[in-house]
Amino acid sequence: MMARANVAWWLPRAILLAAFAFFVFGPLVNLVLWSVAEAWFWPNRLPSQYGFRFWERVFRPEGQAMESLWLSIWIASLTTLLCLGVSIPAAWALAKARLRWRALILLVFLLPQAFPNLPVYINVARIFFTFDLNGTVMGVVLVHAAHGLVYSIWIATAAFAAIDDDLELAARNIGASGFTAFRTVTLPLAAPGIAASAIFVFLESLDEFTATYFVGAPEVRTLPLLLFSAAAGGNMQIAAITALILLVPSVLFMLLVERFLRAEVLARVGR
Amino acid sequence: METQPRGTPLGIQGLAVAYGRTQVLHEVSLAVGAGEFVALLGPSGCGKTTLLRSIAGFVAPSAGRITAGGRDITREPPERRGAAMVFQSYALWPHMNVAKTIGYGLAVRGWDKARIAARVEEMLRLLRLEGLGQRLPAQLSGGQRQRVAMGRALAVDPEILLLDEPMSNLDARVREGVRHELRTLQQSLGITAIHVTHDREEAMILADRIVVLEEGRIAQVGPPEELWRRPANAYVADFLGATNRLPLGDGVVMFRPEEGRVLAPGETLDGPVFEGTVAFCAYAGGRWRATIRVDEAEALVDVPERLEAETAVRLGIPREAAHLFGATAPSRESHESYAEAG
Repeated sequence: MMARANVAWWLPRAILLAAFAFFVFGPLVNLVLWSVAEAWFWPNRLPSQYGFRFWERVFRPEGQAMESLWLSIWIASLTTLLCLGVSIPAAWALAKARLRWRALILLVFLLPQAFPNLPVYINVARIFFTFDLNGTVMGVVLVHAAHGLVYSIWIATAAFAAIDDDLELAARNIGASGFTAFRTVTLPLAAPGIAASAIFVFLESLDEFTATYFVGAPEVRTLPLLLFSAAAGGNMQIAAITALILLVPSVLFMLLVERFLRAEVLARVGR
Repeated sequence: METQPRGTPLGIQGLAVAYGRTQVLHEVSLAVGAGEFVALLGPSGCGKTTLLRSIAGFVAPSAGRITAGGRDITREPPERRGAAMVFQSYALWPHMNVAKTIGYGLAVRGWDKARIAARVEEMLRLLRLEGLGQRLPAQLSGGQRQRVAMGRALAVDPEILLLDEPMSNLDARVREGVRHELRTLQQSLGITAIHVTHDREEAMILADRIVVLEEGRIAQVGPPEELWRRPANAYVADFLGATNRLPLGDGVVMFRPEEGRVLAPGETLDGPVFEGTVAFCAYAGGRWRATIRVDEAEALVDVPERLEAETAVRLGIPREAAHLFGATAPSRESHESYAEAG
């Protein structure tokens, strides 16, 4: 009890906690301030004039931000569907089919992460150019999916591996075909993990900048691209508001993920 | 048997299974009659579960044949074997309620809903699970889960019922009752049943015939009484409770603690008699269990009265309880103990 009252006990902890909170929330506070700053000039610590003029501009029906937001959501949805279409069968095979090169295959999906982004995406853009995929939604979806498959395959593999083989065999045993057993037993049990992977893919696609910039710009203007050009053009208010809009789905989905992704699923990743 | 057996005869010929380089089953052959209850008995790692899983089609044999009712099912997928299994872990689906679980096999057979509901009700009654249809496995007791697993397998009216230690996760008290229920159920349904267990008493009570497995080979097959009275080798004798082993001539005599006797002075007995001394005596509930030293060896014997330590006694084994085996008895344990002695 004495130790708790001791300044030496709580002071370092309080400082650490404050520093942590500052690092997390400091930039956010700055964003919020910028989004409502109608006039903010150096060397003022705070904006000299507040207002929602820029919010109104962004949310105007003809405003680019809303258009970009819907495009971003559309691309993220297509990317998620594509990743699920590939990762569910692939992850099932990796988790259940006793593949010989299992570890190697899982590693291959990590490769896009291992190399520096820029050269990879510049080369992708060059290759896509010959297929007329540059500047198309399809091209952006493909490059987002290549990146998203890492999450979806790894997490879905873990989700399938967490399911006892006997559960599926029990269904086969009383007359279900392999596919029926998968559809009625394995897939519903893996659903939380797969949903979590889908959310990650969706969020990654929504936030993705580099690949979209090289493959999609200028025809495909997603929200992060809009944010970049606004910030580069010195329009900090528009950039701040765009960033805050991007935060909303992330926060919502993170709350969902926390419910879905249980520790025992995560523990199987890479097993 | 009071009912006409509806089950199917099962044939296993020269079945071999290997996991990688480890040979788990060595050319096992066995014929099970229609409606017969056979127990596969042995310690863990003897291959009994592997044998059961290859009948179910979960394990691919490297050689041999499995037939059900004359039909070769060796290469058939699990869903086309007519053999339903009750898993040791029960393998109940956590997301499916009791009614759905029991009706699952009927739904995949394309039965209509009303017929499935009627059959599920019948199974719930049969297994005393009335009113639990909407429960999830997590909301059931161990005994109830075991009965749901049983119901799921029996609902499809299987030709062969495969039981993988279905009672090992139950309390000893519950188990006793379940054994008799299972036996009654199997007989009234006339179903062919293969039951894997490491519990010799369970095998004795349930089975028409017991198959004792030793390291992937069949050590002995026979009705419980025959195995009890005439174990074919030291391994079977040891597994069936004849754990005492005393050297006799070129071989050993094996007997159960409850069948050995401490003889009164001058008493004669038809069977081997050893001179020994009491090393230790402990109360074992209703009787005393004495450890008797005979030369280098020791034997446990049940006696009605307490014996003082270091008393010289004569230990007799009645002829019918004395199982004699050659010194080269094909038991690993005996080899090991000889190696230690040498």
